[in-house]
Amino acid sequence: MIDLARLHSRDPLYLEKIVRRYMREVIKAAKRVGRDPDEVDDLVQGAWVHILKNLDSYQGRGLFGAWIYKVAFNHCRDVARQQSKRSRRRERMGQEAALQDLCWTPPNPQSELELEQAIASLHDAISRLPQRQREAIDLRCLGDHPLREVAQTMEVLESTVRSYVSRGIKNLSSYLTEQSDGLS
Amino acid sequence: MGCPEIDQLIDLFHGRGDRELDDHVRTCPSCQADLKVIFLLPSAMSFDVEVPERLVARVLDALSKPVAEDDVERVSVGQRLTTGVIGFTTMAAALVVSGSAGAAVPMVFVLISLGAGLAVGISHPWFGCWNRDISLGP
Repeated sequence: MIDLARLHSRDPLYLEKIVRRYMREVIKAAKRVGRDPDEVDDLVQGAWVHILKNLDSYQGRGLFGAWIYKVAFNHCRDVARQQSKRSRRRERMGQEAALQDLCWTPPNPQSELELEQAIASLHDAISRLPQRQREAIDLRCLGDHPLREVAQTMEVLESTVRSYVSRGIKNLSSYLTEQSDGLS
Repeated sequence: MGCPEIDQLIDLFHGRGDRELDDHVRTCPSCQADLKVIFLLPSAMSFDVEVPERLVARVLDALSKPVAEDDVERVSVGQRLTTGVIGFTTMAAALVVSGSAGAAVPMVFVLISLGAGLAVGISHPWFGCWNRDISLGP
């Protein structure tokens, strides 16, 4: 999967492969924040430079796509809020590093193919979720908006958002488990 | 601890977990399955995002340039020297003023002078360089 030695040595050929493979996640993160295509492009470029600088904090634990998304999203959000205070960004990077040390994270799949199959299955399952569940999951999980904000955006109660997100994740989780059981 | 709410697992994903939650997740297959979904969501929900080749080329070009050009403000040797001279002069002035004032509350003058020096140092962008990230660069 991720070749940490080549990643940490910033092997140019390997970096190109990484950029091409994970560009979607970074664009997704930038689009949450950017208001127009030019701004999104700037955010994407800035996010990749930020990722490159902080590659060493990824130690191979957990899914690389999730790590890339979080680093890119935090960077884009900081830029959007015009928070040029580096201490906050360093603090976040510290949190991400600490998260890898302290918290359980899903192990990387055995192969790239296995990972791609899981992502494709999940994408398929997400497209079958009710629109409101999908929207709530997107805002709460990927946008990291507090429940209160999601509730205001969706014009529903916080408890309803909690229910949408919970049911949605549980449905996806069951679907993914069934898929992997069926393959094995 | 019983299984946490999904919302707590989302907090864990965003780096806001705690030890108790982590201990639980490590031993709970159900929570692990839910967390796996949450960790896969960024990739799954960006599955059909279009990737323009020009943007890839732009990013690769940016990454091929030396790192830290955009993000680290550099402070020249001249600026450091200026800051040092200002600090030293402020300190010297404070000592002279307090000395010339004799035994009449000299510490007050010292503190006022140092306070004024600090205020100048913080407010002036040139002299506030101690408050920034400092890099000597490559």
